Amino acid sequence: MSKPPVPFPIFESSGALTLTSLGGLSGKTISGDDVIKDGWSDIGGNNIQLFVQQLGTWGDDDDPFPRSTKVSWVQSGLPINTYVKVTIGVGWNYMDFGASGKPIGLYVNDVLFAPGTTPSGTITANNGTVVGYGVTNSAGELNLALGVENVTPSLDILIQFGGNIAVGLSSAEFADIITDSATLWQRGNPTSVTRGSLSFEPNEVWENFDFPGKTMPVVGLDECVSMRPVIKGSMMMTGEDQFNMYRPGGSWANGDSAGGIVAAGIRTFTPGAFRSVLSEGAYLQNLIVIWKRQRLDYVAVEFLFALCTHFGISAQDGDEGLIPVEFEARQPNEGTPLTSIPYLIHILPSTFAFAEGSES
Amino acid sequence: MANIQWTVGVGSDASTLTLGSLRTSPANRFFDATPDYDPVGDTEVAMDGQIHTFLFREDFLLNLVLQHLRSGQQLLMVELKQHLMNGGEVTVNTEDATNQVFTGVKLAPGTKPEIKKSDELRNLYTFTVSLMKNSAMTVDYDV
Repeated sequence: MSKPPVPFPIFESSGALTLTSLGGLSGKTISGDDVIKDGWSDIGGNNIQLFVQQLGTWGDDDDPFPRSTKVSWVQSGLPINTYVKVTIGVGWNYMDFGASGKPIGLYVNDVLFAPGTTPSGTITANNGTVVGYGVTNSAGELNLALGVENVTPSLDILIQFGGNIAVGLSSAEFADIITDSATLWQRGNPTSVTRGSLSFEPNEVWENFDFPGKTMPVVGLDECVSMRPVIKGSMMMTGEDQFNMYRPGGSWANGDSAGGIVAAGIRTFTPGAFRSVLSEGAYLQNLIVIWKRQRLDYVAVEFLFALCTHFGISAQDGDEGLIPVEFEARQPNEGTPLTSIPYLIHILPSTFAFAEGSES
Repeated sequence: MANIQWTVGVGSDASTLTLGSLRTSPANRFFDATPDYDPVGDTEVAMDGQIHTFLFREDFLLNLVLQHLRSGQQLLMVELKQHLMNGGEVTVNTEDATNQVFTGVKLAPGTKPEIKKSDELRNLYTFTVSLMKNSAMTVDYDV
């Protein structure tokens, strides 16, 4: 695929990156409410830490109003008037009691971006990053801050922000475009020959919180409350293993007759009994649908567990038959439905072991 | 944020507890915030329909519903109910148009706070309470 002539309303960049030291608290301004703002510290390696534990009251200050704090600075030397991506490392241990669920993270031009990880709840931090976006000003500057808002005692906050800050151009490259239909694998093996592309829909339900006086959905009040991720497409194979995939919980056996005719060599599939729960082994595992991109690498969606909830058999004169299928994701049964993985999106290198299993 | 705060313990053992929705403001506003008035005393109605009262006390009420409380706040709900039903006072932070704060607020006589699980799938609770003070309490979220 050739690129369209410029100008074209997609910003294309190789993602030029400015990587600098976060520099600890040096050159930064600490602001906010008493007591909580004292929780900031340099912990070496240019890392910044916020560590606040308060039991019952704000120390000697009994006024219980919610408190906030920020460490702010101006990041300079960036491209002017440019939409950029800011990435800072995060190690997060605690965010409990009156801090639980409160806003925390990276501010880019006063817009808050939450860490891409969660508190571990233990002395071993969950490590990740916080990523924010914003537009630099005409002097190539960006207003950055780290902070937390509206916490009340008792509270326990322990979070570290990483030693480096990366500022890169927001990437949008034509080579990211999908250029071919997809294949479907399970546990590293192609599942069946497909025809046409496979489609993925997360079917996520977002709720914008209601409140007295609300006139329309409001920024910062959205939660993803449920989803039903599905992969849809058409298969072609009709082997025993494929039917076990299309209709889990059934079994194959030698049959004596078919259509009222007694004959030898018959194999018969019988669906499982009604109202019998599927065993974990009956689910598809590591089901992954893979699309090829223009740069010859791949983008993929993976369901750790999946169930084929719809299938059928259809054919027409002089053409190959199709098995329309719909796979629904299932969460791993870990007793933690809020955090168990619903689905994953991967970008795979061109060297990813890949066998052509589709007919496009 | 809109919440109800109260103090337990005394002196150096005192600590302030807070119950309110953990949702980001303004989604943590009180629901069904409704003022009311209940005179306590003897009332007679004359032949001409004129009401005559001998007031012992005037109760200015504020009915509130704290919605979308999280499962982890159950203990706070029980502790607030315990505090109110034993005559304790609370502070009501409305976060309304004028950020009104009502102090010295008590449970309305003859009422009981109600803790209810309102959403089984999302594990959300509501805390419904009728509060009383000796002057009017109103909540204005019309902003």
